[in-house]
Parts: sequence; structure tokens; C-alpha cells
Amino acid sequence: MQVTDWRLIVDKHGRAVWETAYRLLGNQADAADCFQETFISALEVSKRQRVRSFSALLVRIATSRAIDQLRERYRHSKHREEAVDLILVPSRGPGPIEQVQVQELTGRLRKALSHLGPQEAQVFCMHCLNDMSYRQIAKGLGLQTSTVGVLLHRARRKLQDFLKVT
Amino acid sequence: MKKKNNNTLDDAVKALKNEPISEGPPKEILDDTLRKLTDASWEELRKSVATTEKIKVSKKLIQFGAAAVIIIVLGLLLISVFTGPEGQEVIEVAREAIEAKGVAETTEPDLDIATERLSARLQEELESIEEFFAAGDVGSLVAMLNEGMYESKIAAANYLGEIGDSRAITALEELSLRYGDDEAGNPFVGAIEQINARVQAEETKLAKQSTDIIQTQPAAQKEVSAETRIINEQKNIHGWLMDPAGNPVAGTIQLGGLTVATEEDGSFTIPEPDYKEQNSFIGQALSAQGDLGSFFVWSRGNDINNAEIIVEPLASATGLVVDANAEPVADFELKISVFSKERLTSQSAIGEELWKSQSYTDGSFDINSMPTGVGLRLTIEKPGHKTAIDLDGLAAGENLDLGQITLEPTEERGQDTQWNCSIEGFIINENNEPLAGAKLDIGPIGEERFTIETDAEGWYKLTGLPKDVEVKIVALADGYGHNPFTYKCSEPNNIADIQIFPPAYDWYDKPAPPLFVEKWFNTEPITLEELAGQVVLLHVGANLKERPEEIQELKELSETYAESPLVFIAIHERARDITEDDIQQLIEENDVNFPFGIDQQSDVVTDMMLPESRPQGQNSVRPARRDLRAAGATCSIYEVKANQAYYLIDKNGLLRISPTQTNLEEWIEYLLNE
Repeated sequence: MQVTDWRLIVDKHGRAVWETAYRLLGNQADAADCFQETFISALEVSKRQRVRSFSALLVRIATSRAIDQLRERYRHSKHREEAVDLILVPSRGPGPIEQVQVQELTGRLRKALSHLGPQEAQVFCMHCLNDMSYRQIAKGLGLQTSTVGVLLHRARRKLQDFLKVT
Repeated sequence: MKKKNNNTLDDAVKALKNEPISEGPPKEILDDTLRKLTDASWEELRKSVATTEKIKVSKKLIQFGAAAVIIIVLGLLLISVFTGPEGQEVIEVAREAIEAKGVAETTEPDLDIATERLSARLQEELESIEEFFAAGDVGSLVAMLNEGMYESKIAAANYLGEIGDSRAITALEELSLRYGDDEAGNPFVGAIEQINARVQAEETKLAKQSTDIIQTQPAAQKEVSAETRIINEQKNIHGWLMDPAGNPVAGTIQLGGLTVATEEDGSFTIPEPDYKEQNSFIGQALSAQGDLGSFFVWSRGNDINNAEIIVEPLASATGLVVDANAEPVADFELKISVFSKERLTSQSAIGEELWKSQSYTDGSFDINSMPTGVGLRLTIEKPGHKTAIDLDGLAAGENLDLGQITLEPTEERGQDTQWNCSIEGFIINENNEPLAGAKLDIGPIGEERFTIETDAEGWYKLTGLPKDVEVKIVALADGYGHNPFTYKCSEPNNIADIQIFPPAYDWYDKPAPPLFVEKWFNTEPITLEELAGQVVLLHVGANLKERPEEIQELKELSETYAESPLVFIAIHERARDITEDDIQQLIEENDVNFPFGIDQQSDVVTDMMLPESRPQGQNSVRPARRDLRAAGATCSIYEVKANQAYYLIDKNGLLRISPTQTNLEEWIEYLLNE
């Protein structure tokens, strides 16, 4: 039985989990759901096995939860406007038109991510958004480094295709 | 506004990374999360302390747990023998220890991934075993030794050891031979020792009670344990040993693990066996001269004051053991088991062997001094080979010639087979994506057959497979059908991804193979070429009689897309018990209004079929393509791997995908918008 001081873990890794969730989901409410679910899942995992690295586990769960949520979002409300917290976007430089363009682009990327396989999306996010190396990802997901490469390549190709057609 | 270059992705990623992020989760969410975490964690800790206080069990493998409990129980048993009055209490503690072990296994899997992934079957078996144990159902536990999965066998052995019933010995002995090289030590040997210790302990206690018993041992115990008090209430059997003519015979009698000598006049007194759940026991008797003997059945309810045991001349048998090529076989082992009412009993549970055997290098053997009186089964064994013969016709005093006996190889169940192999890995699809909830159907291995499922990450783990034996496995997943293959372990631990492909994967992004249709309904004969410019949803392998619900689903879907350039086509499989008229009628009954064809005979596509084997991946197993199917030519060429499959053909006539139930609509939308 691993005795875990969750307060410490939330203190230490809460920020990374929040960033992962918020970046992928783009709004406060969804990110908050994802944040809570991530820690509860981590708790379940820690009951079943000894966790060697909470940071890797939490990022992995947060990413996969967020992608699940994205998938739900685009499956159930095909034409719903993406809920983006506009208030949170400060005006720092780009004018309103560019701002809308950027929002449209990130929206399309989120939608495209929801079309990837779970593991592809996971690998892509960990590499491109969390700046994790192939090795870190391989270790975190229990894959071979070469598999990470393959998954990443496929993810990129699919995302490019989706971004082109949408 | 849409940029159509390759940098769109990089731009999008950059934009996403540059998006400002709020400081953190709202305080109420943060607090709520922390509260949930600490509550659950506290609960878990409390449970764990309660468990570990009772007993410390290694969790690495169930075997270790079993071994530990066996040792503890053995220890406690010894204490119970020597401490007397506390005996009952000690046994109570042992029982608690067993229960605690159960808890430890289920709540603290720790490193033991194998336990975590126990199949549903195993869990069911383990639950039944605990019930059998609670009910003292020795028969069912023994059955579990023979039929259960490996872990169940260990658990059953563990409990049988605890119960200490000699009926389990035969099955345990067989298992201990089969799993002789178990890395965790041989758990079955432990159980046998435990049972023997138990029987011995009872004998010792009895020795104190009855002066008639030959194997009297110096009384080691001064106090009487709770168990002995129960035995005190057992009664003695009084009777006579005689020959078939009714003349008294002096000799020895063995029953329920005890041996007594008769008086000169053949009269004897022997304690009744400790029946527990068992209603009858096999015993044996031998005259002092060693020329007369017999097996006999003693049942609960027999007259204990007037038992007559008849000894008859001993029988003998001879024979020649040959292999499948009729060549004589040397170095085999002979074993005789005894059974009454179809239940086998090992000689060791009855008493010492009276019969004597001799085998020779030319494959012949002699068995002498065989008592008769109950069913006898002669087993001839050699590693990997086993033949059993029932000696039904053996009469007292007879010398039976068994002639040539062919020693059969024990298929895949040879005693030299090691059951220590495991494979694990992902089940992945054509895009190397792991498939959660995919299944593996294993077997039959001997008579065993079981199914496991991949976890949420698409990982599977198969343990306890035979070494160097080809095992049949079928990988199944929604939309991927049945994918049979064989696997042979040569190393104990193997990692292999199993890659499965959707039906007709080799035709993806190529012009869709033509439809082979014997008769069309609802349309003039059509070809896929004519449908260019429209998306086609093809349903191959329909069966209106057996699975009308599929067509109903398809009909609903066609109503949803009535306004879209989407064409629905269903191809009915060929089936012996269904005629064109039947189909015509079923189409009307089901109100099918889209083009509907009956598949042609499969031989028309013989030349178009791709080779069965796929190039194998470096670290993955790829099940072969499917061959021609009786269901028809279209079914064959479209490689339908389950009952049926869907296919989507795009506006350019290219086969794009065989969608699953879950992504079917997504793909329809996607292709319609192309």
C-alpha cells in the first residue's frame, strides 16, 4: 500500500494538469471537470499499482481525459459553437480579426484532435503541447520509442488532412 | 481564410500553445478534489491496515500467497496438536488467516498485474472455490483441481490442504507431477504434505485411543484437542476376516488410513473411518500368508458389529507395452488405481500397495498379488504418454494376459510440458492504434478454452500457456471480425503486439472490388461503376432470416440519409436453407427498399483472392487473411470476417473503409462532404 500525500501532489503537479486540460479544452468549465477527473483517476491507479512518477501519470491521464472530452464535444454537438472564454483572452497586440483567426485555428485543431485514435492524440499532445521527448513519452505510455515515432507521424498526417478539409 | 498549406498544423499548434491560460482551477473545484482524494485515501489506508495486521502475504504471485498460507496453517496445525485445549481457537485463527489472504489478494494487487487482469472465468472459479471450502465440499474442490484454471487449481489445492481430506491426494499427485517445475515451488506438493500431516496427526491421536491398532506410537500428547474429542465419538467396527468358503483367516486390514491385525480366529476391531463428507471408503485386506486378499468398500450405515470381509486368491496380469509403431517401449511406470461407483481412489489413500509389478526392457510387464473386489484401473505412464486400461474382467485368482498395449501420447498435456509461458502486448489496428476492449479467444488447449479482453489501453496479458505447443488464438474486435492465428511460446515471457486489420483492408483506397450477385431485388442489375459520384454504403453478409435486425438498422439509416447522395446496397449471404422465394418474401416483410442482391458462389473469385499470409511485423503477430467463404463470392472478396461487415465506397468508386458500428455515421458524413 502506497501512502500518498495528495495535497503535496496536487500542489506539485496541479499546475501542469491544469495547463494540459485547459490548453486542450479551451475553457474554464471543461478544464475544471478534466482536472478533477484526472486526480480521481490517478487515485484509482495508485490503488492498483505503485506509481513511480506522478508527473508522467497525471499528464497522461489529463491528456487522455481531455481528448475524450473533445471527442464527446464534437460528436454530440456537431454544430455547436465551441465554448471559449473570450474574457480570458487579453488584448496583447493582435487586432480583433487576427484574434478571431487564431481562435478559429485552435478550434479546428481541437476538433481535428478529436478525430485521432486515443493513443495518437495522446502522443501528439505530449510531444507538441507538453514538449515531452520521445523517450519520456515512451516511458510514460509504456511504448517503444519507435512506436512513439510512428504514432506521432500518423497523428501529424491525419491532423494535416483534417485541417485541410475542415 | 483557410490556409491550405502544410504549415497549417504548425501554425495551429503554435496558436494553441500561445493561448493564454487562466491561473488555475476555481477554488471550489480544487478544494472538492482535495477532499475527495484525502477521503478516499484515508479509507484505503484504513482497509489496508486492517488487512495487514492479520497476515502479511507476499503479493507478487498468488502462488507465494498460497505457499505462505500453507506454511502458516501447517505451523498452526502443529501448534494445535501440541497445545491441546487451544486447538479450536488456533484453527479459528488459521481460518481467519485464509480469509485475510482472500482480502489481501483482492484489494492489494500491488505488483501483480496478472491478478489484476484475471479473466472473468478465473474470478468466478475463485469465488466458487471459496464457497466449496465454506461448505466443505471436497468433491467440487477436487473437480476444480482437474478442471479449473491454473490459479484455481492452486487455490483449490490450498483449501484442500486446509481441509486435509485424503480423497484429494490422487488429483494433487497428478498436478504436482505436471507442474513439477513451478517457479514458486510446487504448491501441490505442499497440499499433499499438509493432508498427509493431517491424516498422520489423526492417526497419532487415534493410536492413543485404541490399543488394537498395530501402529501404536509413543503417546506424544498429554492433552486432548477439540478434534480428538470428536473422534472419541467414533465407533469401532467389529468383524471377521474369512475366505470365500467362510473359514476364518488371520491377516491385516487397512481402512481409512489405519492398519489393524486380526486375532488368530480372524476377528478384528477397527475404528470407523472419519466420514466427514464422504460416505464410503475403500479398504484392503490381506491374509497373514500373503496368498489371499481383497479390496472392499466400507459404507456409512454398514453393520459395525458384524462386518464380514472376504479375502480371495490374488490375481495377476501380464502384458506388452508398445508405441504407436508397435515397437516395444521400456522405462514406463505402472500404477493401479481403485474405484468404486466411478470414483477413483489412489492406492496411498487406502494403504500400502499389496500388488507387485515388474517391467522389463523388452516392454513386457508382470503384476502379481493384485487384490480384486472393486474396479481396478491400470495406468501406464511415460513422460508425455499415458494409457489407462480398466481391468473390468479381472477375477480373483486369475492370471490375465492383457496382450499388446499401445502407449498413447498425451496430447499437449504431457507431463514434460511446462505451463509457464506468457505473452503480453497491445492488440493494435491497421494504424498501430491499440484497441481497448478487443478480445482474445484462446484454445481449446486440451479441453480448456477461455477469453480475455484488452484493458482500457489496449493491453492484453496471457499467462499459463504451454511451452513449445501451438496454441489456437482468435483475436476479435468490433469491426475487425474474427482473426484466428496460432502462437507457440519458446521463451517463458514474450511480448508481441497482435495487429488486426479490418475486412478488405488490402482494397482500401483502391477501386472497390466488383459485386458478385446471383439475383438482384428492388433494382435492375447494378455495378459500382454506375454509382460514381455517390457514396455507397455496402452491407455484405446480410441474412434476413437469422439476423433481420441488421437490415432494420440499415433501413433506419437509409431513411436518415434519404436526401443525401448515399446509396445503400445489401448483399445476402448464400445459405442452404433459404431460397430466392424466401428472400423475396422476407424483403417484402421487412419492407426493404434499397438494392438487395444474393451472393454468387465463391469459386468465381478464386483467382482474385490474395495470399492468406500477411508479411509479419517485427514485434507483432499478424493473423492471416481469410480464405474463400461458403457465404459467397462477394463475402469472400470483401473478406467478411464475422457474420457481416459494412463498407463505404467514396464518390470516386474507391473503397475507403470498413467502418465499425461506432464510427459509421462519422465516416458517412466525412465522405458525403468530400
